[in-house]
Amino acid sequence: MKLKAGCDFGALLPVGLILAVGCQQAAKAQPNLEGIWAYEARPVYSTPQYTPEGQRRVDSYDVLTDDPSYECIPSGLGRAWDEPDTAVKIEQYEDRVVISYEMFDLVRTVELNKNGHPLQPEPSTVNIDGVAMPTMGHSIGWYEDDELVMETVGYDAGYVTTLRQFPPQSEAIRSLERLRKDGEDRLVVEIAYVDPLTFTEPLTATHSYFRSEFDFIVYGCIPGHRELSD
Amino acid sequence: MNRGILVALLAIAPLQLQAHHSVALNFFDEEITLVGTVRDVRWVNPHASFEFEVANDDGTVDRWVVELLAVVALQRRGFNFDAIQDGSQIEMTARVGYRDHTLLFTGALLPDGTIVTRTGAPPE
Repeated sequence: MKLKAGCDFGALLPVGLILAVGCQQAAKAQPNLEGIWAYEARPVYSTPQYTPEGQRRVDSYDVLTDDPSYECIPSGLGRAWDEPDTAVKIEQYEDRVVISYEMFDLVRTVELNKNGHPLQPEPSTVNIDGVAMPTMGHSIGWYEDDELVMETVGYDAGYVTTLRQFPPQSEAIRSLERLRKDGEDRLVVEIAYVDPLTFTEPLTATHSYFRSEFDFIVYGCIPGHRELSD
Repeated sequence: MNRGILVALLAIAPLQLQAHHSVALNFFDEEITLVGTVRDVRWVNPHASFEFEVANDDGTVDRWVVELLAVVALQRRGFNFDAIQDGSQIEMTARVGYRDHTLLFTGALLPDGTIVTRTGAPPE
């Protein structure tokens, strides 16, 4: 695992013992979430509590035109975590975490330990062609004990997810994700979405994954609805 | 072809749109059964698909676009890809889509008695 730099035990001798212990403790404090994770079960969402505007957006949702999935675009952050039969790969570096989603070949780079978001945040997620995904916002992260915490702002309007339900997200939405291990081979992702325009209280979601038995693949999304041939 | 079923489904579409939000939001829950020929199979993401030709008693042919799960999902669930090939004659169950001439594959019976399920799991 690519953790913090500076834990070269060989270079620390003879005074390295104390430093090595401290270094190892620092390393243990950072959870090892690396690996390829497979969708375990349907995520559990709280029942959305909509504002009048949120309800209006739900009521006007058109299943045929408002889901960008057919264009290989995630409707929101939840949609990326929700996709069954696909894997998520997590790579941890000293200054960032890279989360790759097989669905739509999304690559999300989350910078760590930043002093807040930039004034004009750019999307943290791009696809395999480098096209940005603004419906997944701009994320920064840090570690708290055994959890990776990620805060995301700067979302484009869309829907938290469009799989089985479609809670709308406005550009005012913010989210807080907490990723942790539940045992050695299980990953739990808990997300809270706060959107004063669409929800009267936070929408929460819990996703769970186990270690994938499959290799991480290139998804190769083909956009558009298929039409009958001439 | 069961045009009568299609008309009935479209007539109650507003109720269905509000009431049924299961796995595939673009399709009615009710299933129909058609016998026909598979054409132009495409094993791709996010939706594998093929065209389906159904010969009517009056000599006309109805054509449908049939969607399946993503090919990565089918692969990982052990789907029987050999059963669905260009020219395959199958008895297919499917859900009618909100878009014209679309179906969501839910299963098929081959002439040799093989049952193909939507996900590749053994039939119940």
